[in-house]
Amino acid sequence: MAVQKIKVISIIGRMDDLDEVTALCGKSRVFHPDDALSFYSDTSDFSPLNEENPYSEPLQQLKDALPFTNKKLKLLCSKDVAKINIKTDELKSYVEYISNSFKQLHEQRAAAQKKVEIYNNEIERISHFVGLDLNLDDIHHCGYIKFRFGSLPKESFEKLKSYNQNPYVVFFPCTSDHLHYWGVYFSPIEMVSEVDRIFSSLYFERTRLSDFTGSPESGVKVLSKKRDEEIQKVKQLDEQFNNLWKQEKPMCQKVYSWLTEQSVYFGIRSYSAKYNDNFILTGWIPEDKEKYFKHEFDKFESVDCTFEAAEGQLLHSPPVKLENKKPFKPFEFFVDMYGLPSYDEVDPTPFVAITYFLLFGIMFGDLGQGLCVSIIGYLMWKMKKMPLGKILMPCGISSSIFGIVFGSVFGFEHALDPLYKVMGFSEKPVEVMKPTTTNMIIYSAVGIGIALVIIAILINIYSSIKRKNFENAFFGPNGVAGLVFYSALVVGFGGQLAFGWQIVNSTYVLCFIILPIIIMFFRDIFGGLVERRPNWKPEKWGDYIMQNFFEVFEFLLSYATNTMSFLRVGAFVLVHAGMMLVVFTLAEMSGPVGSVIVIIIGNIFVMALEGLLVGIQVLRLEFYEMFSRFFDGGGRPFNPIIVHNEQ
Amino acid sequence: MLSNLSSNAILSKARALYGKCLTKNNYKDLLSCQTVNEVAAYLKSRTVYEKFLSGINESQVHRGQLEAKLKQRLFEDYALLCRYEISVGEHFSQYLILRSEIEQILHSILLINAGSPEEYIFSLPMYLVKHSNINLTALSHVKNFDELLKILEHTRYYKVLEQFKPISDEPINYTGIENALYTYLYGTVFKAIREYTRGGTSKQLQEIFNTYIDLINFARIVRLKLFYNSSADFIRSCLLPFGNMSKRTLSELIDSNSADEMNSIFKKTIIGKRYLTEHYAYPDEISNHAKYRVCKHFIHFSTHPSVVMFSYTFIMETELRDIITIIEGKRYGLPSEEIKKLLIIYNLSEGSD
Repeated sequence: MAVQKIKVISIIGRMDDLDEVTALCGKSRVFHPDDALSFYSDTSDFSPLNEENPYSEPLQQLKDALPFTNKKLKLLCSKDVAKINIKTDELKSYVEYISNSFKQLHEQRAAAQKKVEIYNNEIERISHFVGLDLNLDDIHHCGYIKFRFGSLPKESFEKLKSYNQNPYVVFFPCTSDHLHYWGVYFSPIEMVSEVDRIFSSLYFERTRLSDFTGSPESGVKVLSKKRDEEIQKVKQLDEQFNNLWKQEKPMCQKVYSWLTEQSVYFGIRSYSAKYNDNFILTGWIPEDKEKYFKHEFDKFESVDCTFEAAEGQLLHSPPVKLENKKPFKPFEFFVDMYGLPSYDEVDPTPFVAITYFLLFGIMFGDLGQGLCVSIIGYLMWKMKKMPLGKILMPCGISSSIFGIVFGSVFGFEHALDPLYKVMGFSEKPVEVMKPTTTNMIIYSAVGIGIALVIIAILINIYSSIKRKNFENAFFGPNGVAGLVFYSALVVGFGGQLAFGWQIVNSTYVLCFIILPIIIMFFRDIFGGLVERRPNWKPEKWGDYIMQNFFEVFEFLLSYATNTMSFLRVGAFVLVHAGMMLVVFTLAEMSGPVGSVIVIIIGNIFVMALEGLLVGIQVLRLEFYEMFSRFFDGGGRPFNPIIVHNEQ
Repeated sequence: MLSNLSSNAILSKARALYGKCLTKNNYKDLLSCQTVNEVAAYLKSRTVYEKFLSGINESQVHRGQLEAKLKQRLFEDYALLCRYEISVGEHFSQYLILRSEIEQILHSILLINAGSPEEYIFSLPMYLVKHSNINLTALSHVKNFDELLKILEHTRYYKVLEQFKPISDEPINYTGIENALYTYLYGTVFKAIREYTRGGTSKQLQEIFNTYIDLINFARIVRLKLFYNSSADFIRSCLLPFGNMSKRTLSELIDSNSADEMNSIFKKTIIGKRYLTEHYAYPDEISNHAKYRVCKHFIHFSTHPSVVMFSYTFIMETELRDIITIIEGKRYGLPSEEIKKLLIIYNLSEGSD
């Protein structure tokens, strides 16, 4: 249960050295800056540094020049960046030059591309009329006849067939799609408004071809030629761009890396404060890096730094970096999802790792399916880098182990019988579907629940004492009082039911049940007295009693509900066996080939459904039944300044 | 018994469809559109009408084309629900077809009166042709009322229309025909309600139709009396012979001389007390407001499939009317605030503006 030890570092020096100090902090890759002013009570002589970052503008200019292309700028490693030796002015003018060059090419390409689209639309428009043996020039010159090209909905075209009152209402279709007919109608000039009105009521959509000359075919040809020219132009511009990129890429990467690094380092300045010609910079570093910083800052004449353990700065909420052993590491994902622990809080990752591993295995016990889950988890991590994949790998192994205990391989409940015989058993250790075993599974699930609730309370006691929160440690529902009450109920009444122990008498009830309830009821007052809080006395006793009555009632209920919630562990053991029983019943009803298919599909279905359900249910048990007893999750992550990811 | 239970699928189906109705935010967006094309583009891209508007070009859309497509959706939804209404489906499924046919006949008569009957074909909704029992395409070839009657000779409308055959050069009595056809429509509906439904279903369906008809009759009296100063006998002949209003109340309304007097008489009736509480811009809007309110209540709370089916259909009609109001408003350049006042669902639905 480990949170990395960190220290707060305060750096004081001359303003002239600030750039070098921020660069050094940034290069260390372990410096988490914090607002310097918040660490001092009297800040009247300090002023924050509100400067404009001189590197952000050229950096943005460089970034903006590329989004139009599929090229991406990559950061070089810090060693290569250190070798760069160009003046700032030269860099800026280079950025100006390269971004203008890229933009110009892009604008030319966009214009050509737009023309291609325009030509395509025009070709599409005129191509509907290819096949009409017409010369558009002749039509344009008609003095007594008006013409209208366009489309008519198919429905209207059908209607037109029934209309014969006006001899001038004739539509000459040319092409059609599934909704429209495309064609032309003509009308004498004096009749045009009437014919237009009729066609308008038939929802005729006009296409204007007044810009075109010759036949529609020749129009398409001319337009196609123009479009091809523009396509060629686009290709040429792409080539020009590629050549320019090939030529300038090394320099671009260098400039981009250098500017990024300088911009990030300059950003650290915003955390510092100024006092006359001096600066103060405060941040967090891992404890083991103290020597490195000391050594580096000793090289500066006018820079001084001090270190203080984070325990002394709890008010400033030291950032948290989880540090766990390799097998527990994947489960940090779940803790992070809930909220990181505070610096002085217990890291629940190992607890989550162990309980998740066990509960998942118990609830989804199948040797074959477990191995499949592990393989799927491995692939998820390897191919997609999904953090859940790393969690599924151990979970699958756990499923396999419990699959051996329950004797289940892809739902074949007796496939492992020879193995048990070799091991000296007469049959498999746990026959899930036997009525007697079913009861035992349910009781065991409740037993697991009791054990985990007690462990959660014990962790809370430890964590609260560590944080000097004595009220929570001794008098709270998850403290000693709660532990005594819960254990007394379990031992007294549970013992009587299970083993026939007759230990519950009036003294037992008074000392181990009533007394803890009273202590929990007055926990604020006891806590205030122990922690010597001046305001330990409630302001209004009536309100206090009323509020605590309901709170204690809720605590008592939560012991029962939290414990009963673990029944789902047993239920899922039975669900797995039940679902596989259904699969095999269906398989028996099918033929020899069909049964194989049913078993395969059934296994895939059960694995997907149960894997998802069990995964969620165990997480629910972790978050609601256990975390709620000992974990706040109010920490903030340790995010040191890191420019390059390669190290 | 089983078929009755199967009809319950309508309850969830209709409510699921109801869930896709336009929301108040949709109406706000539609109102903020500047042109009919923008309205069409919005409906096509952001609402359930997408499927029905897929064929239209939103940059050149015709208002009539848009309306026809929207109406087609209403018709198809109704047909979909009728499939589930196994118990009384065939009787109620006829309602929308009957009404649509009546609308087409009336439209054809209007065009005959206007002297351009051949133009009927242009507005003919093709989706109706395959469902209709009358030859709608043939209606475009009629030149006069006699020819119309000939086309409708073997249909149920013949008997209704026969009595309106004009003698010599008399103009066609459009108002009389309209009233006779709608009387026939509602007569058929009430007959189906009486014969094929019982208990709660019958009661709730009667409430929907009676409320609507009472308010239509009230609006007709107001309009004919105050705006056209028609005679009492003519007004009586224009009323639908259904609804909950007593003959005495109807006579009092016909005999009254001012809007205030009519309102005070109507307010004494149960429906008047319930729906005549707000100021109305024009009398016909009350019936549509009331129909929407009754149907909205039933689609939320009724457990009777037929009631929910009709409620959904009438709510959709109201939605359609609102969309058409917006389209008309945009076409004629009405300010959004003025269009908003005319909307039914927008003004009657919960939530702040």
